[in-house]
Amino acid sequence: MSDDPDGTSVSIECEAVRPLLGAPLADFRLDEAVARQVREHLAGCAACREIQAGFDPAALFMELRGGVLPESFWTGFDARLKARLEEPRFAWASLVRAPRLVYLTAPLLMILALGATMLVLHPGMGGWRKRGGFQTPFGAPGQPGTPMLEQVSSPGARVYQFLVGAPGDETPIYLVVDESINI
Amino acid sequence: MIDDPDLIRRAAAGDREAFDLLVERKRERVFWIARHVVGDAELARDVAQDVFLRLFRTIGRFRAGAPFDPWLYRITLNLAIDARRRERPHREAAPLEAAGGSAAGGLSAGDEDQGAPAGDSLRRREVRRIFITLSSLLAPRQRSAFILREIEGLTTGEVAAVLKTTESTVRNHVLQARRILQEELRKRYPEYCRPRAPR
Repeated sequence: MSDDPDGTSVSIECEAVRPLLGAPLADFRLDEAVARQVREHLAGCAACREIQAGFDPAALFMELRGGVLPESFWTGFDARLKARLEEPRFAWASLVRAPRLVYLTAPLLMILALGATMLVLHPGMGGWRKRGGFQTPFGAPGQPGTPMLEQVSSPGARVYQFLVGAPGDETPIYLVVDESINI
Repeated sequence: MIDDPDLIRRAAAGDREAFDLLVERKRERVFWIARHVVGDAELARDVAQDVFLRLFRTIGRFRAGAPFDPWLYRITLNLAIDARRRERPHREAAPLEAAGGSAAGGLSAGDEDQGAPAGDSLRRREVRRIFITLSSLLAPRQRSAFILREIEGLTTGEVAAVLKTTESTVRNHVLQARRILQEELRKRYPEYCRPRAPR
């Protein structure tokens, strides 16, 4: 034992530790085993901790190191834990393993998966409409049927010409078909 | 006296007596780690319960020979962080006096500070309150690294095993945590930054 300048006694351990305080400890410059011993000492020695706190204020929190708790602190802990360990547990795993549940859930999951696939592939109910669109009794462009007279500016609109009446006295009738008009 | 690996092997095989002994051996460290994270002693005790409940259910899957303590401390940290997250809105809503007393300070009965000199206990509670306030400014991994290494005294290698990271990352987390705590202490609690006269 020696004395600090202020008169407090300093143990041999404190004397050994003090040269290591400050930057060597804070900057990880000490060997890991030595640093552990120093921190161990600081946790229990307020005087050395204050020296370290002068360099690193966060050393203040070293005094929070857990100590040995009184047995009374654990009163009820073990009994409560035991009760909780013995509580019947709702076993999700056994539910999944139950064959009856598998027979019920598998088709449901399949239907859900199919529905989701259909929705992704054909978003909205339009996906169910028959492809090919509006049907006319007349041939589409390039197909055999009544010859088309002309196409107008509307996409898909076609003009057909029919001739009615005796030869030499024919009257032309024009029929406009526009597939973009959905009645 | 049965050593840890043997005890763990027996507990994993379903030996309840071995499990109870394991709880008795590990509960203190588990409690303290939880306590540093959540602040409140009662809540930390609940977290410790949850940790051992989780341990009981998963120890059968524990790989023999693997490091046990880092695994246990990891469970503790995760459950404590979850508990802190759940409790935080109530804690923040509570008035400051309550936070210093029950919410962050501890219990009147069964408190771990019981039996310590009254002055020490009060100061320790105050320091704990400050730590809980300031540690909320740290990232969870910085907080965990600081608690395990600087407060609970684990080596850098042990902390790295708990956090499943490298030693250099742990050093980095500790340095960053320390820097933030230092700055905030100087700013908010300058009275704790002046060296006090030794008792």
